[in-house]
Amino acid sequence: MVTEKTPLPVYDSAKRGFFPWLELREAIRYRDAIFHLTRRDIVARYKRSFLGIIWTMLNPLGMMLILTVVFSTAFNTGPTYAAYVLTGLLAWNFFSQTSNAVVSGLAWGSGLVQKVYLPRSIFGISAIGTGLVNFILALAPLLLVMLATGVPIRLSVLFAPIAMLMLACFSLGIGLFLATVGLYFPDVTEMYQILLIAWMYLTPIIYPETILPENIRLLFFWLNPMYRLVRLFRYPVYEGEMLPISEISITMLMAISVFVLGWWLFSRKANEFAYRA
Amino acid sequence: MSLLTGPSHSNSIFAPEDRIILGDVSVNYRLPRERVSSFKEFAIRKLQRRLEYIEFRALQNINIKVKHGETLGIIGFNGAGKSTLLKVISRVLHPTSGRVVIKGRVAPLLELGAAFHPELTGRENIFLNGVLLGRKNQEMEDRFEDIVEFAGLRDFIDVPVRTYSSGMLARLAFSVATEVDPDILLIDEILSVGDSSFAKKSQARIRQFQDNGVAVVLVSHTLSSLQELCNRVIWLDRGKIVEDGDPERIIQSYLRQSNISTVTLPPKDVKSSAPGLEGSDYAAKAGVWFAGTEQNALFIPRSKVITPIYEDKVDGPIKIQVKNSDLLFTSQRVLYGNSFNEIMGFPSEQLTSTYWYPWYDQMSMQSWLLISNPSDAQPVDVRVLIAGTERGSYRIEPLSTIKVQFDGISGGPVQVSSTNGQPILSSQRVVYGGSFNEIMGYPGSQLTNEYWFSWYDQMSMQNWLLLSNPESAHSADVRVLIAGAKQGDYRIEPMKTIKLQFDGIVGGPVQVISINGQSILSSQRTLHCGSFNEVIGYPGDKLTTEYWHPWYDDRIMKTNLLITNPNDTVSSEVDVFISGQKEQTHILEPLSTIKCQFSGLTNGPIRVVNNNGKAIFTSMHGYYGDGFSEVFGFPGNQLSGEHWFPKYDNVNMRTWLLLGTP
Repeated sequence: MVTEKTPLPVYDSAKRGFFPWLELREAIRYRDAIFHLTRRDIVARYKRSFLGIIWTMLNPLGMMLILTVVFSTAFNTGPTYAAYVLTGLLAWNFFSQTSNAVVSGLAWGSGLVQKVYLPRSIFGISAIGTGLVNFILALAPLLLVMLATGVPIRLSVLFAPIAMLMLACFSLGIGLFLATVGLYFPDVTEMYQILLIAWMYLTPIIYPETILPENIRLLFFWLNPMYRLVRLFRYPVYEGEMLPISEISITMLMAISVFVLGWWLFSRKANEFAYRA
Repeated sequence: MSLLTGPSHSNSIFAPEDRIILGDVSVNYRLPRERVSSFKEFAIRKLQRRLEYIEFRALQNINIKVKHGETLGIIGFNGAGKSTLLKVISRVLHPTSGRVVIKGRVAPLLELGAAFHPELTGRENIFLNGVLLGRKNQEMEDRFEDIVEFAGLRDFIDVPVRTYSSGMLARLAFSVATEVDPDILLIDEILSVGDSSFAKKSQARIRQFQDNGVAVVLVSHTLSSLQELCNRVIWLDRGKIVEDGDPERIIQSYLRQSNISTVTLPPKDVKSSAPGLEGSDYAAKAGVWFAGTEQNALFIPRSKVITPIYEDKVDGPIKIQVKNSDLLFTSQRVLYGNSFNEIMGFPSEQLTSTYWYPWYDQMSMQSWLLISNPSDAQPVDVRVLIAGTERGSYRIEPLSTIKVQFDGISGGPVQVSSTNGQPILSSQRVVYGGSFNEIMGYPGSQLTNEYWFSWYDQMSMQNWLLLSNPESAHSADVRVLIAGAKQGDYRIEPMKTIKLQFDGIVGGPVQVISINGQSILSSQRTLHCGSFNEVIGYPGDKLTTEYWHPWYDDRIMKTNLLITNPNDTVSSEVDVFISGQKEQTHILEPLSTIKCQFSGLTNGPIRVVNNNGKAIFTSMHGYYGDGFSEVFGFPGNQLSGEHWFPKYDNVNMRTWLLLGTP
């Protein structure tokens, strides 16, 4: 005799539906798992080091210090160079670290997804979550550097969260894309490391965009999405001005498209992970 | 996951008490034959259409329903598909075809604590593990106290789990996974959790679940606990359901099948056909001699193989002679512990005075040499040299076999020879872990400069190539090619043996060739799941177009028949005959090896023949239990009316002979 208190959840492998939507719905259902995975990454990373979470802030500061010493006279930019380079670095580091972390997070998760059912995207999303927490923590030293070097902090800085969200969308899209392709071609993840180095130098991060000849700059601007995303973050924070609405909307559209494409590809192949890993 | 409110077709297959339904579920893994890891390689192969895949059918058309309150046990040999089945039920694997419907919350006790992070405290890990099992944070908070209580870890709950013992970890994981009301519980071989008192507690909890109507699926090798806990058992074998029903009945028939003799001792008609069949349709009458004593005559039906077993017999040498026809093929099969081995009979025409082995190892394994005197008149004096150093000399009486062992010696090559040129027979036996292997000595008169192996696999097993230079004066320069690709050139000093491994390489065929024309010897050693196997390479100058294997068994073990085309320019067309029937025809690309499997078949003999006049060779890979065994096909042009084995032992191991006529 069976009495059903509440209707039981039913999984039916024959009901496929629209896979990007299913994956998204499952990811939302597992939101607590995303939270705890993110928390685990942050807690575990700093638990055994003496300075702990402070390293998140010291890392970009150290990098900034080196770059400022090396390049500030070369680029002839004066004392605000430190804040300039730091805004660029924070955006870039977020992208390069999280897009990699999405790939390795899914690889780490592969051990687990062999054992229990989990929507695989949650490992990617939690990697982005970890990156965002680190990003937010690193904003504190950025504000200090801006104060110290006399860069005015204007109201436009409130736009920063939206820029960070766009960076997150873009990184997740790229990361999911790489993870899916890496499923078939493990070489890709190694190739990506090299690509990242070139990509960084093709993006105005440590050099002012004004040193580029205008035609080259335009080329970068239209072909390198990271150029736009760095600007989206840097302009309101460092320059203290809003970008023209046309540029903002195109950049956002592009970041969201990359996310949608990455998500679509990944969720289409999500079932393959258990077969391949 | 949607509630049971979907279109009516999803309800229709569902009785309200059903919890798990598998309808025609198949899972195929598609493994690339060789690993392609870069775009360039992929593109090149795609263009050349050389991207080959091996389909591995882990589950084939499985139909199972598990009801509310039912406890289903799953048994089967390793590789039968038990874990894959659990993965399909737990939603980890989406089936390749078929339909899976799961109604209710699943608690998988698959690998306890897979999600534990060592740096986090017990408390943090409870939450992490819980949410990864699909619970909500709020649920975990509500259940937290009960979990800690059940695990008995209150004092350690705020300590990083890296300080926990494995028993404490298992207790914590079990508590988290079961402290929610599951509707379905999946258990993979973890009934003994932690110490004995906790084991009792966890068993009690499982029983409580059973009483409350939870559907349980249990995979275990512990048949007694399955019989105790389950009210139904399914026996899986190579991805298929063999039997489904009452635990006691199925466990009994599973046990009967595991005792290989009833399976491989086969065509029942053989025994009845033995006496009094004279004059009817048999192809040959064979005599068997144990150390010169003749046993009852055996009758071999046409296109059949007979497999006599001599109970409680240990003796040697064994001679098998056909009486009324002129040709015969024979092999000896052995079961020892969890391993299987087969050797082919040694034809009388090839008996010689010297035999070689690439290696002898009495350090990391147990090895001994068997040396037989096939003469019924004269004793023979033999000596054994290892790496050019004499290790012993012995006198062997007529029709007897001696066993020699050299303590603490590991070296090669090994030479066994009679001092006066009288013919002898020799084999090397090895026990490694629980596995047994025997190889026939390689006749010194047939040493050559080229040897072949079917396959090299340094991914799923460990493979060595042993290359020996049996010359005492000249060094040999040897090249190794796998699937036509040169792996390297190696110089072997006189009376030395080198061991080679090629990391990450899977492929075949393997060609070992001495490029300065020196005679060499080569063998392939394999470790697979702790079991050991060795085969001596097939000599390049003895390649022919027809090969025989006495028996093929893909029921009690998994067997692949490997066929190789060693020609690097011409394709080869081969037919495979089983028990006289043509079963398959294959076209083999130049320099390629194919693996054929006849799923679930157990029959013999196997004849592989090329029909466009090109030389080929064959071998059989048998996987039994954890063990791996390889034997080369017997060349059709070397069939003989008389064959020898050094020893038959049905006391310390299970041994039977196989006899057939072409």
